[in-house]
Amino acid sequence: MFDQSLLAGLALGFQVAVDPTNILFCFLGCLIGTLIGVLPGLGPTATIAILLPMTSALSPVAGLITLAGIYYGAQYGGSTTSILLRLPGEASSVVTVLDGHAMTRRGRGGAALAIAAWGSFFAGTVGTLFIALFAPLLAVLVLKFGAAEYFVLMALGLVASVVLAQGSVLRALAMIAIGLLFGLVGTDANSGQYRFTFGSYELLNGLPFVPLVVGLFGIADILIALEQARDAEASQAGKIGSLWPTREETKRAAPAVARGTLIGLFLGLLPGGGALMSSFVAYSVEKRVSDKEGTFGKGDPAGVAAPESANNAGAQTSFLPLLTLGLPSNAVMALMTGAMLIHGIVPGPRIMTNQPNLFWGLIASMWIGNLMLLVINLPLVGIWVQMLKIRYSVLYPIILVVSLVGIYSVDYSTFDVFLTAAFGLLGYGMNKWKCEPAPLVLAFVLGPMMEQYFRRAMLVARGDLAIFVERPISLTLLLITAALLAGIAAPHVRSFRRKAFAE
Amino acid sequence: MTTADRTWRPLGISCLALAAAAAWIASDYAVGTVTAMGPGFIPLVVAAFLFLMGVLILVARGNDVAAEDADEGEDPATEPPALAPFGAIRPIGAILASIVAFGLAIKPLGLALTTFLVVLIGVYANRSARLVPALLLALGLSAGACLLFVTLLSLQIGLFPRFE
Repeated sequence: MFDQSLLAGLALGFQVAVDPTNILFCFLGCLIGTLIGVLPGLGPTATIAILLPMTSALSPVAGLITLAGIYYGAQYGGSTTSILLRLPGEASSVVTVLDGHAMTRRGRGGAALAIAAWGSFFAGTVGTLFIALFAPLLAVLVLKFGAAEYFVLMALGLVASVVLAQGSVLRALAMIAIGLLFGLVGTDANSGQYRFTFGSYELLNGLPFVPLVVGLFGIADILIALEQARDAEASQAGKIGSLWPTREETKRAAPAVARGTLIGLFLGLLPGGGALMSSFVAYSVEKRVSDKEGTFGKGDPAGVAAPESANNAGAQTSFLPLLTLGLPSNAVMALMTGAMLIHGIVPGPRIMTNQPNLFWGLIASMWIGNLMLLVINLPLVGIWVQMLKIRYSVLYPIILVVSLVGIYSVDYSTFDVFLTAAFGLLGYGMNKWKCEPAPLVLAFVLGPMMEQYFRRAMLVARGDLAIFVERPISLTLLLITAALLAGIAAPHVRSFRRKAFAE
Repeated sequence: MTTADRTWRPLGISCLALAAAAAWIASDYAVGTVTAMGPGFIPLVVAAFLFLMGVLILVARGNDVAAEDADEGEDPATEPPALAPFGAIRPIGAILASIVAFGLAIKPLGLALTTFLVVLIGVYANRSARLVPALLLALGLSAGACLLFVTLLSLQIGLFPRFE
């Protein structure tokens, strides 16, 4: 019976996903994703933030399909420049540079591209199946959740994203506090009291999401790039060569693809994980497992296959906690939450029953998107390399205009535009003070929900905090949270973080 | 352990100040009891948490970041100064000015002129900006924005100034 519902779900999903409009937007998303993946200095987080308002005019399904396409499309595009130019277009493709560019120097660049693309496609397919299989199971479990469980789950999400993400833990916690504070702005749902509105009429509904993320990611990025006078020089692309890997190369890459996919599947699920950490861990594991003759770093196909499969698998499975638990596990997923909320959809277990079109359509579109990416990337690789000739001095005014019109078009409010300037400045300051914006945005999205669940849990328990330890699921989640917090100080977690981000 | 990071002091103090301000504002809201929380309860808890983080950042004296940097083998000597006052003023000023210009101009002037202005101001965030390429880019992007947003995406934005 379970298998039947899975098949029915997938059938429904493909029906939705092959709808001409959805196919078109899936293609557009993948195209934009590849483009920004190729362009260094423009990442998926900033792009999704900037394009978020544009998708509010689309149907929810088409909007989310587009945004998802940008995210996993960027993983493909990032590998292209890593391999051909020794220039990682995305952070998640940094380790691909080592062996990918070494293969290019030996005239095997085409083979490296093909391995990366086929590996990513395989990983994407497995990732899609994985989500389709496990999402219904998780969603059933989550339906048992009460207010206490939801609260602890979200707290766990916040803490885990801090522990597993990059940079100082203290500062990330401080950013969470500021994000929670921002989330409080507006009218209190229970009492109708205006909080932190400073007498402003525009703030009664809370701080708007789009100006916050565009400011923190888009505008702040521009400011930092201009200060460093970053202007990507047109570099010489290596020769691409044949797109067909030799038999030895395939034999070397295939097991690495399988291992990378497996690692990506699980690391993608973790809060704070996703594509970036998956690729780093997969490379270091692959090096330990299969670097027998010391060929790593000298153009070993396994060194391309493992991280590229892993980052794509991780990009796929990071959707699972969002779709089933309503828990965004990284900044991109927080933006997806924002996109759903703009359409009036509350992410969580009820998506699957109330919005089966959206749920299965999104999953099916990911597989179709991965297929499209194979076509977009391999034959057209020459075009993408040409894109690198766009100078930053032309690129950033375009980003600026698209962002501003996008923000304005959400509510036709100039107040939102001015807010964006303020948040851009804040994002710049945070960068200078070595604070990451991602925990702030995550807390901003989760904060209001957490407050509601906490107050409801306290109401049910008559103010007895013991409710959080008396219920088994809540207690388990609480113990995991405590273990993670304790782990911050433990030396092996420190060294894991160091290894994962060493480059 | 090196303390190459000098941002801890302004950051920690900012956290304390923000937390204190938030708590002060929230003190006007009813706190309620734990069972039936008022609108002021959670703001006070969050402010206290932020205050604690501010204290910890000041206590750590930047070692939280320095430890990470040392782990990653970064050379502390290459650490840029905490705030480079002059290199940043131009981009910040020009970009923020162009955003504010958009907000002020979009309603009275319409999309075409506004985009032109925004790009023209924004381009000067770049130190090597020149007038003629800037004008051409502004013209091109203005036309592109009108075509993309109004003609293709049919957003409800006026194209040209309204004389009323």
